[in-house]
Amino acid sequence: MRCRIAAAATLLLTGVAAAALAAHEEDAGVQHVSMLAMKFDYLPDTVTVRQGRPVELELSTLDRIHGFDAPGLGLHTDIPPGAPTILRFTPQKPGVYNLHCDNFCGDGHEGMTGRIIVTE
Amino acid sequence: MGGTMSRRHFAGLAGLGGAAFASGLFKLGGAAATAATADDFMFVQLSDTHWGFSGDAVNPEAKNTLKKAVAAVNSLPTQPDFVVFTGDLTHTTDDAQERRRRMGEFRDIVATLKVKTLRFMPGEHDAALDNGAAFKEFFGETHYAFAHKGVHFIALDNVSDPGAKVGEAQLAWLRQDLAKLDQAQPIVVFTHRPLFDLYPDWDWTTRDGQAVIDALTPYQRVAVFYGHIHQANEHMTGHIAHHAAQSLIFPLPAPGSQPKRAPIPWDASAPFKGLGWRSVGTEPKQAEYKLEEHPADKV
Repeated sequence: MRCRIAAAATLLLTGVAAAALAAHEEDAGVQHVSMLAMKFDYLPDTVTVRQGRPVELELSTLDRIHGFDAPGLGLHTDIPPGAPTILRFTPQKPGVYNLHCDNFCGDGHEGMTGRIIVTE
Repeated sequence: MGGTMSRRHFAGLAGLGGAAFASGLFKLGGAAATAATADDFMFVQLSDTHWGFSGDAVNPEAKNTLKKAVAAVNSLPTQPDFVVFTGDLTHTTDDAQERRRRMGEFRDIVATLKVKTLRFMPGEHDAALDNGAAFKEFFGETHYAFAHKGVHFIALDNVSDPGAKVGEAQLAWLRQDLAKLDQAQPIVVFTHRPLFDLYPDWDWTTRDGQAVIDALTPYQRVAVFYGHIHQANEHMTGHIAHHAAQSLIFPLPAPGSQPKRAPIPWDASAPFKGLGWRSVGTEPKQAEYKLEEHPADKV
């Protein structure tokens, strides 16, 4: 974990992760959130969005292909290296929705989880 | 002892401390089970042995659990016709050389089984990081079919694709294999991951598993045996029975019973609790399967 945090901190300094970790932004009614995937974490591991407003979720990976599966929201995609992957959706119901990597990535894959919190 | 298996022998297995589950789901036209026949047989399912795993908090006996299971199978009064390993033979590693070392050690250990007909299948820990390359070197193809005493067995690979897909090519192979069979043919399918959505929040599913179930559904006598979830579990999709096996490394919690699918810690007051293997008494004429769960601490 310490190594992963250190790696993330390094990337923050480069500015690459800084973009990915940008705070929740909103323009023209669209909520923009970002998550960064890497073995074996999402960074941040929790994002919060508001119910009933469109969301643009930008997913990027630092190391290899990962998965993103949030069954409760009906969201699923692979996150290949290279360009960011964008998911667009409008959450309908407040709640805490679990997400996990569903593209096996190594010893630690099973713990690669996160949450999307939908507020009123 | 030969390859036959009588009801008396089935009952004898229970004397080893196994819990029994009879799957009498296939009595077509209400036909009742009859006396054992010469075609009755037994096979053993070992699953999720994760050879190479290290973690005293969940299994300080990791180096011994598989060996105990091998000894227990060797001590059965009637030897099984074959042993099937339903995946995660080894614990994953990014190091390709270490992966092969673990597979070699696993192969050496199971070579001490008295029964020499062994059927291997990969789990994602064996195959997902190299698309099954190392597994094939040691254990052969990752999907295949074979017939045994009137039962058609199909091993499906839903792990070599790290995205947990069977894939179109294997689905086409499956449909072609099934097309040769009468719809009353007893069929047993082996997979690693559940083919149905057992608990998607924990990734206990197969992305295109429904396509497999759709292909199997026209066949009236189908049972599926799988691993991955490290606990016994019974589930029906229509008339198809799905039986998950215990692990031989660490148990996992019941689906959705806690926030995360973390291994259940080792209980020093009850060593090997939740670990075990399974024998399956098979009566092909009735397509009946008698499952007996054997705890890992009994030899």
